[in-house]
Amino acid sequence: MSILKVSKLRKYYGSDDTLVKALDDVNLSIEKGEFLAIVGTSGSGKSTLLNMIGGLDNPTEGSIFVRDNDISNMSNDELTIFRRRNIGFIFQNYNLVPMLNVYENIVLPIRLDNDTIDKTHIDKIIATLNLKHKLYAMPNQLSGGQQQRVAIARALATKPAIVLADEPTGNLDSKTSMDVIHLLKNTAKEFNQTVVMITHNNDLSSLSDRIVRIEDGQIVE
Amino acid sequence: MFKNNSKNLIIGLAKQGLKKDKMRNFLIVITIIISTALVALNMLIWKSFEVETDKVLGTMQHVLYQDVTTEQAELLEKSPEFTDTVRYKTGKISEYDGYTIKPVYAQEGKEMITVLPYEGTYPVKENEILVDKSFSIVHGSEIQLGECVEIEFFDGNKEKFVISGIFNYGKPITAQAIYTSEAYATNGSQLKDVAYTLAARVSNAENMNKVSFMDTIDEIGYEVGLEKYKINPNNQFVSTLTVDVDQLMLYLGISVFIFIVSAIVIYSIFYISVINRTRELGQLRTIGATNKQIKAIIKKEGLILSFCGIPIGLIIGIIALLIVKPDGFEIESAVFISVFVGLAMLITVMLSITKPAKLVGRVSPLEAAKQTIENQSKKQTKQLERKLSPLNLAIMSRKVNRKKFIMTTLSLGLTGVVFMLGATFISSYNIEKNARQGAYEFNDIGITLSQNAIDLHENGKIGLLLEKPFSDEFIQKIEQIDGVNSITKSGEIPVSYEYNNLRLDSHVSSVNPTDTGLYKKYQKDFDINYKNMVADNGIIVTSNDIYEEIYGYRFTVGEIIPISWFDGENTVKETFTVMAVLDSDNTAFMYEDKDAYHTQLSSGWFIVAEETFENMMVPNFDATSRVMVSTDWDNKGIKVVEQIDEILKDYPDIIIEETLEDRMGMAIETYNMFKVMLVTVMLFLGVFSIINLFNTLITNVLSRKQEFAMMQSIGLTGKQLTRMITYEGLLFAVYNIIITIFIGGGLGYVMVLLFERAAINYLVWSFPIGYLIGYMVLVAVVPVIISLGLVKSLQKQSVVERLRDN
Repeated sequence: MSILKVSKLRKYYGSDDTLVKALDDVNLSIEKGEFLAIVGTSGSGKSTLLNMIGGLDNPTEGSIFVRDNDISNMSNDELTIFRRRNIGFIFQNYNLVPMLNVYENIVLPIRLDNDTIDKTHIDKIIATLNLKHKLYAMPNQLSGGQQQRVAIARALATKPAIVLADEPTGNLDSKTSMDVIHLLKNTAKEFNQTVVMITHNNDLSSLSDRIVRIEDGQIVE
Repeated sequence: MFKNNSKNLIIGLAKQGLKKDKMRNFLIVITIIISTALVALNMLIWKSFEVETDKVLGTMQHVLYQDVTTEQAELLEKSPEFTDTVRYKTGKISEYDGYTIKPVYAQEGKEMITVLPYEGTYPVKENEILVDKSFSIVHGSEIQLGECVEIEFFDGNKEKFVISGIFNYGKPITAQAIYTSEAYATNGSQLKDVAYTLAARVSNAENMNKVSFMDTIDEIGYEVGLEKYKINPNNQFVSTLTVDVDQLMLYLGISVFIFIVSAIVIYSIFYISVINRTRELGQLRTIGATNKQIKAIIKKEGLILSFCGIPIGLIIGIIALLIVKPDGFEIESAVFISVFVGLAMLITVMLSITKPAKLVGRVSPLEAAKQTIENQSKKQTKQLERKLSPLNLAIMSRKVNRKKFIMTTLSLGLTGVVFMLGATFISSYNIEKNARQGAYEFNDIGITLSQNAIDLHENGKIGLLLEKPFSDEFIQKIEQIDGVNSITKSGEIPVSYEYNNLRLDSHVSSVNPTDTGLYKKYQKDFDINYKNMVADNGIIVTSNDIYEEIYGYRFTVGEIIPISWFDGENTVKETFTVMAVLDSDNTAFMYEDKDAYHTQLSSGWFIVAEETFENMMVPNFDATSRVMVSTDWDNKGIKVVEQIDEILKDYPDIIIEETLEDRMGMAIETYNMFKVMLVTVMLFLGVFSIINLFNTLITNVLSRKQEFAMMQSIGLTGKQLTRMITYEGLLFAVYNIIITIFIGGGLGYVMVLLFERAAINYLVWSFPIGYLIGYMVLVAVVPVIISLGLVKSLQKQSVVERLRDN
């Protein structure tokens, strides 16, 4: 069963002479538990696709079904609620909240939803990502790899339908990058989590279940 | 060569920096404009009093030589020290129903303007006169040039004159001066026996100091055989020869205060802007900019902003002066003050940005490129998880931006405190207490001798008092009025005394043994033996501190003072010994003491014992020249005044000096003046506060754009974001209000106490609850509005765009 279905997705910017087709007729289906890598040159449209899937941006045309909900026509606030319940984000620059400690950063999405914490689930994530000793630390006390592990934990905390990772290792050295992606993959497997990851790195994309290449706004393989 | 290039580059980079941060520039330029305008206006007003006086003094005499003979006048006129002299003499006043007539002769001056006919000419023939346009009230009908009029003088003499010229005073006058010719001054019945007074202007007097001016005029007088007391300098002019230091300090103090407030605002705006630009400035450092160059960029930015704001501020200040006090404007002093204030403001701006500039200079390139220089918390938290509500998140962010927060809170708090001081003053100001200050503390109506009656009497005040104007019958009539509770009499006699080579006029009043005891209560070092006082012609000097302020020296115990006076029959001269001195700083409190205030009702520097006073005058002399009436004011006061007015119709020599009602009117005027002044200051402070708050909130939100976008991407709703940012703004309000209430309120109370200590008793402490509520609403509403506006402008960009912005 597909957890995500994108059909005839178009995203155009500008008009007439200055028209930019960031995404042009993209169709994509992702199965639950799949670890998908999207690759492409810079400006190819991969980030736009990821943002559409995550409900951060509205498409010009087409539909996006996540867990059978069409999110392409939702309002801003509906999208926000949708995001916090269904999507986990991992950013290149970690984007942790500087004034919150590690634990607070991890549970922030749950708290924003006024939800109660599934303690076993959170503890398990923390253990898997080896963050147990850092829970009281502030983000700027952590290394890049540690910060990205916190971001992964935060993305998994709400048991989302999909985890979206936009160049998650862009700021890390190659060894740490490998470690983080291995961790991400293993954790995803353990929690039967669907992951969509954008990357430039062929070594990293080779770790995925499937690779989708985007060029000029279209899927090419 | 290289140096030049780098200089241009720095200016270029500074200009770029300015372009980037338009909101900050706007706020700083506004702050510079407001404070420059305020300080310039303040200093221009200080100068304007002098300018106004100079304009008036430009046509006035520097000195009068009184009681001079024609020979003396001629000698004086030849003195090379004078640029202009005017001889004049004034005859006796003749009083009629509704107007008075005074014959005057005054030479035409070159610089000194006596009177200028707008029609006709100055009188030449003995029977010619120059009169005011409103002379018709004397004449009975409209006057015309060449018309013959008959004037009856006080002595019953009737004389005929021809109107040779008419001048225009501008408004109808009841005290008519009749300008006669020189021929009449020499031969005319009303003026021939009157001595001349010679008014003179001394060359280059404006540039002399007080001592050399006084020496100059004295020497000229002595040379023609005049005594010191006949040489009468123009005190208003003399006062311009010395700078009033107290006044200058007050105006400078206000200027410094405005500078300090604006420096705090500019400092905190620059500080925050520099923090947010660390990364950009760090990049410059990585590509080789030195510490010095970075500082130079920031300083250049400050310089450019000053050059934009200061001239506008100066122009606004000058325009404001032209509106408020057009007569006080003078181009030279305006230029001088503009240069002075402009430089001072420039220095203030440069000093305010020194610290922020140093701060960026100190950051290493690596640090700067990576992080902001702010000390973000590197401490682990004690709790595993704190409450993550929008309110708590707002409180946490305050802790992260601690320095920024403290800076803004303190500068907002300062304005709040000053606001409270102003508000406390206004709310504590008791109009009735102010109106009652002094002699009216326990009385409501003052009745006194008419100055006109004194002037008209052949023997002046003593002559009038010999006729017992405050007769027992009069006193009884007043006492019998319904609503009058009690009356208090006081009186003094005019005397001349010689002291430090000066012959001066004053008054002497009397004291009884009980009163001397009262003085002891208010001035600890006061000590006098009443018996000795009676035996040895002892005097008590009052207000010695004020005497020192006016004449520059104090009376000391043991000094012998020769005093002369008219005792009702003859002029008597005797010596008196100073046995005690009083200072007004102490005796001012006696007004508030029901048993002691009567000792303060008489005027003059000297007090003698009752027995001495009796012996000084002819037998049965009654010195009563003022009666204070205490009434049931609230219920019957106005009616009592009406009845006294009625009674006074039969006593032409006595008038109502003042009533509580008159004084209330004046007190209300003063109150309104204070109120307008303080509210203006408070409004300006409010503007500074809002600029400061605006800047802090805007930079706070804009610098955390990405953080907010990220939180939104993981599920923070627009509503939650709005609440979080609004709470952050409100936190400033909460701290500001706490500081305002406790520190501002406390200091307000202390201020009232200090005023009381200085014998200023019209402040009755009252907490300015109304003003405070207004202030609280303002400081709470403004951040909410700013925050809402900010969230709205944030939301214009999509979350994705904001996430990408770096």
